[in-house]
Amino acid sequence: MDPQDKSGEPVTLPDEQCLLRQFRAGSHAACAELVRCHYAAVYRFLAHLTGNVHQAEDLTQETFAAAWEKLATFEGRSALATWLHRIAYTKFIDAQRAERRSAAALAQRPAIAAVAVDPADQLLADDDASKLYAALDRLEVPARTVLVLHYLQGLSYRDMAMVLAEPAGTVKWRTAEALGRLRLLLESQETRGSPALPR
Amino acid sequence: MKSDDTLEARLRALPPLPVPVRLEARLLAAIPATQRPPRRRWAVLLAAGGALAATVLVALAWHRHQQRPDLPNGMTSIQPTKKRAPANRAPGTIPTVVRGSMASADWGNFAWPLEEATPLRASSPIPADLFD
Repeated sequence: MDPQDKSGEPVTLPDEQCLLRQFRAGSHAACAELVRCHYAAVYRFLAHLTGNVHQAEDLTQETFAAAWEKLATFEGRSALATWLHRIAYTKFIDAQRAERRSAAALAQRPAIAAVAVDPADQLLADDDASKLYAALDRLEVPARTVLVLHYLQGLSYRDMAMVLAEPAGTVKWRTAEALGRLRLLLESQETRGSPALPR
Repeated sequence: MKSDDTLEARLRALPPLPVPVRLEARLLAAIPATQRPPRRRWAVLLAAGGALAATVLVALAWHRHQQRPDLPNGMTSIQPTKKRAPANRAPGTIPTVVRGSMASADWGNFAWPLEEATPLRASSPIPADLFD
């Protein structure tokens, strides 16, 4: 996902560097461009983690609010998208801790497929996609997080390591483990009499 | 494993979740009106460090000025000691050291060991009436 220099270290893209310079100079247009480039990916990431459209929206706004505060300290050692994912993940963890302390933690978490989709939207009309999303939603958060980051958000293991603040080797192992659990979930769905999934 | 490869491909092929149409406008509206240039912390720290160093140097210089020893009458400064020439002196005598304006001072000559007229006493005797 990220371009790399000779040492293999990720760097921000040249156009992102230009955008960052404009932002640091106080350009409102640069801020707007940053939002347009990255808000959808951040929202989708948070939607997968939270399983709640409204919470994902709120956390997305909190993520960008934190980004405006911290952008001056962004050193460009990763792509901007990776950095935003890191902030979003931190916001999600903070929200989870707050939920555990409140009665809201007892509320049933609605599935993304039931909440996020517009009935007229055809995106999840695909049976296979809906089954896969449902299985993803049933995974515990740590497993779901690594699968979403790697396969849905397209982050490399190096980027994921920055987002999750874990070694890349650990992230890779967790991803493989999560993939195995997802496969078992799907197989259990099949053995319960669900229609066979297309191969 | 082939099944994992297939599952990976299926995951990558998943259609992305739809994004609420109002979200972009909401985020754009929340962009701060004015962006302050980032504080150049390094410049502030450098200036503060320089001011602190200057203050310390001034304080040290003033302290040394205050601690300058008192000079005998007639002296305005203590000159650095000149290199001593080999002295042709009588054994047991201490050569007279010439130090700039102090050369005119009459220090007198003395011989070692000093001759004492009366034996030195370390302390005065205790009067007898103080004993019980």
